[in-house]
Amino acid sequence: MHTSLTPVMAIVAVMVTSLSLQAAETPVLTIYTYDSFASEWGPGPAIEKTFEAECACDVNFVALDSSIGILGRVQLEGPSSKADIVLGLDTNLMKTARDTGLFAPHGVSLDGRTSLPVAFADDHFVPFDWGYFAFVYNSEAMATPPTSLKALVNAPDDIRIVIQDPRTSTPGLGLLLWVRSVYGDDAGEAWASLSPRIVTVTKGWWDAYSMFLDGEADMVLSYSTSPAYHIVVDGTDKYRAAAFDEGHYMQVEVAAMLKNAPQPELARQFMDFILSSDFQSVIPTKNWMYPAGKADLPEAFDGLIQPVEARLYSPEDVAANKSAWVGEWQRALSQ
Amino acid sequence: MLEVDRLSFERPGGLAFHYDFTLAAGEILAVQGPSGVGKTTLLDLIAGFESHLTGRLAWDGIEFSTLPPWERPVTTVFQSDNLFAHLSCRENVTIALDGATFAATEVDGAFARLDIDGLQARLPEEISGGQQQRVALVRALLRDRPILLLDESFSALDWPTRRGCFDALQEIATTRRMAVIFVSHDERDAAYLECDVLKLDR
Amino acid sequence: MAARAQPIALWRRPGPISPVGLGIAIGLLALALAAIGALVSVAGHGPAGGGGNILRVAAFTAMQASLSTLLALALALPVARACWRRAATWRAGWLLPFSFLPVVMPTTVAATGLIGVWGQRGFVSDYLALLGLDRLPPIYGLGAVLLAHVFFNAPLMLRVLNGALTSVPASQWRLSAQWGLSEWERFRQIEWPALRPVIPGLLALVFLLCFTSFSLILMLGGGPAVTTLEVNIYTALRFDFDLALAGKLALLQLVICGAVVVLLTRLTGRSWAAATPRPTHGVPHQKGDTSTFCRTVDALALALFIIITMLPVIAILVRGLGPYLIVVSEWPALYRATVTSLVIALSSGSLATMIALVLASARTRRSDAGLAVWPLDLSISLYLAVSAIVLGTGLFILLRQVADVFLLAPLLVTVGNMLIALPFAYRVLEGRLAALATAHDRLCAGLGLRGWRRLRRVTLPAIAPELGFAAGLSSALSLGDMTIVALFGSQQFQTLPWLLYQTMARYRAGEAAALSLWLLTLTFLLFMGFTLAARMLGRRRHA
Repeated sequence: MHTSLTPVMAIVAVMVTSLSLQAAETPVLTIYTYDSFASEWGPGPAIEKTFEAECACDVNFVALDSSIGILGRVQLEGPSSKADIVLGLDTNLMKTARDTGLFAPHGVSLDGRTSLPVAFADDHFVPFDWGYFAFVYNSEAMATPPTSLKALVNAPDDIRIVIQDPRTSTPGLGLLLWVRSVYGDDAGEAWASLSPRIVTVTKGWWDAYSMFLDGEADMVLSYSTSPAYHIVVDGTDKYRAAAFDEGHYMQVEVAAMLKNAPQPELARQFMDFILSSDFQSVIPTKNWMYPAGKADLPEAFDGLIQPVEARLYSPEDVAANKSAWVGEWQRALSQ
Repeated sequence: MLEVDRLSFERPGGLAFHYDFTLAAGEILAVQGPSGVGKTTLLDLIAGFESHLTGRLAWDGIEFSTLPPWERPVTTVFQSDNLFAHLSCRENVTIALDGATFAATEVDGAFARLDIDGLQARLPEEISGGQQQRVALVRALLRDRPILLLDESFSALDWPTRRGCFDALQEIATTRRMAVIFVSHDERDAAYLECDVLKLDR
Repeated sequence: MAARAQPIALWRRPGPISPVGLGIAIGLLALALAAIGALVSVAGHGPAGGGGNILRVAAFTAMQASLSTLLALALALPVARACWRRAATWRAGWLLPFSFLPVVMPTTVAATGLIGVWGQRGFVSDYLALLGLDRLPPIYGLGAVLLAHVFFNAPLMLRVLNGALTSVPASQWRLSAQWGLSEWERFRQIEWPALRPVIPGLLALVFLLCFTSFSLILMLGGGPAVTTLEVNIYTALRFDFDLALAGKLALLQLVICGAVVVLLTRLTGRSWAAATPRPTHGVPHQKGDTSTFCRTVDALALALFIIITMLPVIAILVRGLGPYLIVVSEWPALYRATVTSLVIALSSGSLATMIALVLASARTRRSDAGLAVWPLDLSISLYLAVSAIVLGTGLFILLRQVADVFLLAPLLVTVGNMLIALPFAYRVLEGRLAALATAHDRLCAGLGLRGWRRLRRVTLPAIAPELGFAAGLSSALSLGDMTIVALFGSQQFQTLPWLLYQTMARYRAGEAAALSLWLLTLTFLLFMGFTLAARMLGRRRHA
C-alpha cells in the first residue's frame, strides 16, 4: 500500500504557508520557553492575551522540551535565530548563557519591583518566578518525615526516595547543589550514605513525581509549592513538603532578550512587562511557583513551608564547578 | 530448424559438456541419459539460463546464442514451479502473452485441448501437479515460440494422463511447426511418440 | 564464489536498480556521517568534555546489550517452537499479531507499563500482598533494564523465528513423522537448519537496538551506575551542549556497532528468511508432541512470554481506561495532534517502505549476480547505530543555513523517522524477496516478464504481506517517536507523543495515562490497517 505523498505534502505546505502569511501582518514577538509554560494549563495563554492587548502585536510562544533545551536551541541557531526572548532559564545557566554573547542588556529597572528571598541584580536577566526545592511526602503514609537533610541522609533504610538526574533535570541539579552547599567537600560521602535509600534516579521531574504518586517511593524531590497544586486542583492537603533545618536550595527562573532580536522594542516592552502585576498574578496558580515580582498569593500558598534559609550558589560558582560536582555525584552513586 | 552447433559448456568443478545436433520444425526430440550427464544443462543453454563457452545456437539460420532468455525464440516448461502461486490459472497463462490479445474463447479452447477446461479460475495450489503442468503447456501453446523445451515435465503423471499430454504435444508440434525437445528418463515416452532420441553419455 | 569458467550469465546482471540501491544506501550513510560531522565542527560553549571513563561505559553498554540479546533469544526460541507446534491445538498463533506492539511503543509508555506490573505497587506486588507475602523490592537497576529489553525485543525475535519455522517444507515434517524422529533429532535436523540462517542477522539487530537504548536506561537504570554510550551522547548534546564530545561518542558507537554487525553477519551469507509467518497446513503430528514433557515446556514458555510481554500492555490499558479518557477526548489539541501524527506516520512509513523495497531489490539482484552485498547490509544496519538525537541535531545544523527550521520541522521529523524505520523495513522485505527470487527468476526470465511489469504483476502481489508488515511497522515506529520530535516540536507542530510529553510535565497523571492508551490504540489500529490493506493487495484475483 503506497499512500501518495504529494497531496499530503501539499496540504502541509499550504497549512504552513497560510500560517506564516497570517502572521506577516502584525509584528510577532517570538518567545522561546519550556513546554509546560506554553501549554494550555500553563501561564502562557493568559500572559499572551494580556500582553497582546497592550502591545497590538502577536505573541508566539515556542515551546521547547526543557529549560536547558532552550539555551541549547538558541546556541544552535546562533546570531540568526528568530527568537526575541528566552524565558525559562534559571540561575544555574546564567553564566553559560551570558558567555554565549547572544543576549542583550534588558534595560529594566529591578529596584523595588522584586520580592525574592535573596538579592538579585543583573542587567541581562530578569527574574520571573522562583521556588524552593523540597522533598514532598504523603502525610497519610508518613507521620514524621525527616526534619533536616542530615536526618534524611542518615535515616533508616526503609524510607524510599526518588530523585532526578542532575545532568538532565533542574530539580536534580538543585538537589546536587543543595547537598553540596550543606556538606561542602563531604558531599560525596553524603551521597554514598543516601544511596541505599534512592529507589531510582529519573530523567525528568515528572517521571519521579508520578512514581511518588503511584506509591513507588515515600518522598520525591520536587518544589515546596507542589502541595499547593494538590490543594487547589485535587482538593486534598495530604501531600506536604518536608521542611529541613539547614534551609532549602532555591531556583530562580529568569528571562532575557536576544541581541539580534527581530523586534527589539517589543522585546524590551515585554521584559518590562514581566515584573508587572498582570504577568506575576498568573504565576502562582498556573506555574505553581512564587512570583518574582509583587503579587498576591492564593490561599493555598498559606500553609506552605517557609524555609529558614534560602541557599543559592552564584552563577559563576555553578559554571566553574558543575562538571566536577556531577562527577563526584556519579562516582558516589556508582559504588 | 534448430541448430546446436558444437556447443560447449564447463562447470566450475571442471566438468565439460559438448552438444552438436539439429532439429527440424515440427519434430520432437527426446533427450535421454543417466543423471548428471547434462540433459538439463542442454535445455538451460538453449533457453539462455546458462552461457556457453564456444559454439552457436541458431533458428532458421539466425543466431540467438548471445540474446538474453526473454528475447530467444524459446518457451521452457520446467519440472515444477511453472506457475505463480498468487495468480489464477487463466492469469498465469495470459500474463506471459506480452500484449498479444487472445479472445477468451481461444484461451478456453486451449484449456479444453489439454483436457483441463473448467480450471481457469482456480489457483495453482488448488489443482494437482499434473494439471499444473498442463496449464504451463497451455501457456507454451499460446505463446507460440518456435522452440519448446520440456524438462521432465510429465514425469509425475500417470501413464494414461501422460499419453494424453503427449498426444497434445504431438499436435502442437505439427500444427504450430514447433521444434520440441523434451528430457525424460522413461524410455516409454520416446517409444510412444516414435520420435528421434538423443542419447547423452559422459 | 568459486571462479567461474565463463562470465556470469548475462540475464542475471542486475540492471539499473543495483547502482541506484547502492547509491541510496551509501548516500544515506553519508548523510548520517555528515550529521555527526556537523556536530563535531560546531564549537560549543559548554564545558570541555568531562566524558570520564568512556571505555568503561562502552564496555558496560556492550555487556548489557549482549546479555539482553541472549536473554531475548532464550525466551523467544522456545516460544517460537511452542507457537508453531501448538498453532492448531492451542491456537497459539494469535500471539503473533499482538507481538509487535512492544517494538513500536514509545519507551515512556512502555516503562510505565513495566512498572505497573513489576513495581512495588504493581500487579505482581499486589498479588503477592494478597497471598500474604512481601511485596517486590524496587526493581530499578540492571535487572530492570534487561527485563525491559526482553520485553521490547523478544516479540520481534518471535515473529522472525516463527516465520523461519513455517518456511520448512511440509514434506520434511512428513518424513520426520514417519521415521519417528525424537525431539532432539527433529530440532537438529529440521528446525535448526531453518533457524540458523536467520539468527545472526536477528542477533545483530537486537544487539544494536539494546546498545543504543537510552530512554529505558534513564528510566529504569536506577542511577548513574547503569549507563550507556547513548546516555552520554544525550547528556553531552542536550544538557552540556558539548557537541564535539557528542559527535565523537557517536562515532565510537558507530564503530563498535559496525564491528559487531560485520562479525555476526559473516556467520551467514543471508539475513532474515521470510519474516511474516505463513499459515501451515498439512503438517502431521510428530512423535512426542503430545507427551507431558513437551506440553509442559511449551506451556511454560508461552506463559512466561505472556507475563513478560503482554502484562505491561494490559497495565497501560487498565490505567488509561477511566474518566480521564473522556477529559482528554474533549481537547481540540488531541485531534490536531492525532491528525499531524497520522500524516507524519503515513508519510514516513510509506517512504521507508518504498526506499526499503528499492534497497532490498538491489540486494537480491546483486546477490543473484554474485556481486557484493555487504555495502548495502552494513550501511543500512548502521542507521540503527546512529543515535537519533545526533542525526536530528546534525540535520538541524546542516539545514539551518539553508532554510527556516520551523517551517521545515514536519519535513525533518518525517525524514528522521523514515531513516529510523528503514533498517526494519529493509530486513523484512529483503528476506522475502530473496526467497522469491529462487522461485521466480527463471520463470520470469523465460516468459519475458521484466522490470516494471514483473514488479507490478508478480513481485508486489507476492510480497504483499511483507509490504504490509514493513509499512505498518515503519508507521507505528514513527507514531511513537519522542526523540526526533522533541528536537523540532512546538506549539504549532504537535504530534501525539509531543502532547503526551507536555501533559506529563504538569502533574497530570490521569490525562497522561489516558493519552498513553490513546496512542497505543492508534498504533495498533494503524498496524492492523496496513496488514489488512496488504491482504487486499495480495488477494488472489479469480478471473
